[in-house]
Amino acid sequence: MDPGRFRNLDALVRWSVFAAAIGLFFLLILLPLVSLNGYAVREGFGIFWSRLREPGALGALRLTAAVALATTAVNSVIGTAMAFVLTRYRFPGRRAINALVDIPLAIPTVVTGFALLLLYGPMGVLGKFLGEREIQVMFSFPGLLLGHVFVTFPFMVRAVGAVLESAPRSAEDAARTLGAKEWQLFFLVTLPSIKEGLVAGSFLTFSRSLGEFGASIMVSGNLVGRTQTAPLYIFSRFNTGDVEGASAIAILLALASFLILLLLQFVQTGRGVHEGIA
Amino acid sequence: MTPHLAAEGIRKSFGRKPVLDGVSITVGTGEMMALLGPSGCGKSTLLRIVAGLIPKDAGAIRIAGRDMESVPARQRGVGFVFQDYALFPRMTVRENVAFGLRVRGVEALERSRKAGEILDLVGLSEEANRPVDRLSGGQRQRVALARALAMEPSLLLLDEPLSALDVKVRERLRREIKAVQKKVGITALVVTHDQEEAMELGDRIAVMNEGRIEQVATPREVYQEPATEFVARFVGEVNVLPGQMYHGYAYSGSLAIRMAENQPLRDGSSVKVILRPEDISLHPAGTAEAGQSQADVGSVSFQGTHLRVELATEEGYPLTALLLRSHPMAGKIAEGDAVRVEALRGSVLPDPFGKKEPEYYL
Repeated sequence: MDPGRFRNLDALVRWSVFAAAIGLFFLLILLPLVSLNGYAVREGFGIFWSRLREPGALGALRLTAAVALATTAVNSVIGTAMAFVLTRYRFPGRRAINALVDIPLAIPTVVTGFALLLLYGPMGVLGKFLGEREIQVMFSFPGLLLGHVFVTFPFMVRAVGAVLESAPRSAEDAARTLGAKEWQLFFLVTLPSIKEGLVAGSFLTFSRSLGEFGASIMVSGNLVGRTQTAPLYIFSRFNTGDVEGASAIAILLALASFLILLLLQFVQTGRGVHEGIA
Repeated sequence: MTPHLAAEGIRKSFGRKPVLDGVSITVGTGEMMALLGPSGCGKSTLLRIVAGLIPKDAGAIRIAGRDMESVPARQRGVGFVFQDYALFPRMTVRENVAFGLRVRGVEALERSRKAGEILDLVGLSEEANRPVDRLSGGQRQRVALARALAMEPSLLLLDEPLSALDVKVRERLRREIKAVQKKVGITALVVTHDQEEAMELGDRIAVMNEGRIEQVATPREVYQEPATEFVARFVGEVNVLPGQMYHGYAYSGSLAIRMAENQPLRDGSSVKVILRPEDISLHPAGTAEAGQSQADVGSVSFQGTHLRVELATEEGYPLTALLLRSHPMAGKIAEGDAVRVEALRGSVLPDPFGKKEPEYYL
């Protein structure tokens, strides 16, 4: 470094901010991830593979993927519908509901899980009602799905809503004057125009669901091989002292999230380049 | 001309704000009507109501004699060209144009043939397979027009079709739109805030202001015999002077304007005299002839084809005159000169609030 540069106080401040930001990013974000990688394969890949093959491990990963997929599918439909209602309809209370959509982001996920448990659990109003009809929601797949749909709800609404907000509505009016029925309008005009929002929202929902812990642990009952998702598996293994077992799954989960992030970046910059040309 | 489109007593409010206050208008078969007015006057709202895109509060729309009350937009057989074109992105030019045929279940081959025909008409055959995002503004506009015409509507509605284009392209496309409309023979209603556009496109012009129609007439009548002061001021530049009728002339001070034979105003009634700046001629100062007035030149500015001269009449009214560059006075006139003013042509509007001049003044 040329000391002459520091004669200027502004330059010093700028350099300090730069160093602090990059340094803290390494320390707080990258270092833990590196240690995770280090730990998982410390004992060699053989141990890593054997840990993956333990009962419950692959099942937890499969369950996590299934819940994440189902959550994404459910929120694609109800999140898109909600985004539609909030951007295209005018009704009293719209602004209030619009603000309430983000509540799942603000409430601690454990509280969410607890609330669902109180409602759908054996003592809850809905739980009792459904229980009498032999339908068990809690401590099973539907319970996990409910929790995850709740926690990830805002992502799809916001992603699709942003696209709907910016898309000119006249294209839909044009389709109407050209004779399109409402369903043709949706599939031929509206859906293509919100595709990008749907993709972005799906990625966000899916990756958030992969790592969901707080609500999951409350509603799932943490039943090994049945309702134990990957994050719960990691926690349980670590608690019983099986650090390698926890690491093996943890690294796969981290890898999956990383891939999704890459994919999202790829999809978005791909779009950006396309728009740049046009 | 039999009316193809009839709107009767259309009312519409957004919230408490009235936008259309009982608008009635008829457009003859094959006629192109320009709906001219300042922004916010309700003209686009009227267009959308005709298309069935928004509901009206009261009134009736009839297209080809058929009441449109319970007919949804998609069944009205109305072509609509939107201000922002509203093309379908991610579709090619041909796909855009064929959209109306596609949703009606016309088979692919026939669709393609029909789209090709229309693209020929608007001169876009070369671009048929290009995505619409790659087109220039003028090309997009033509795609929008072609798309609206492809399903052979009986009525074409255009909402500020050229306002997003730059001046040169706008003037060329204006002529193209008019030519296509005449060639197809379709009845059309075009909304614009640009008086030049309204005059060139419209067989007749309906001038709108604050949710009402002020005048419906040919471009020439709207310009030369405006029905209201608003129309006079909105369409072109104008001088409005207080005056009175006497023996077939309108007098503003000593300035006389000859009226048409059949004008109905009684002698002595107060009027507003409407004088277009180009209908004023100037002469060197001297003895005023009958009907002329003296005036002082306030300023002169060169504007290319003409000179713009700001005057003050002997009665103290400001007056703007436009002199062609070839006018005998054009070379000599300067600020501070005294001149004689002659009104070559003008029109009057009754002025119920006008000051009653004493008889002897006449």
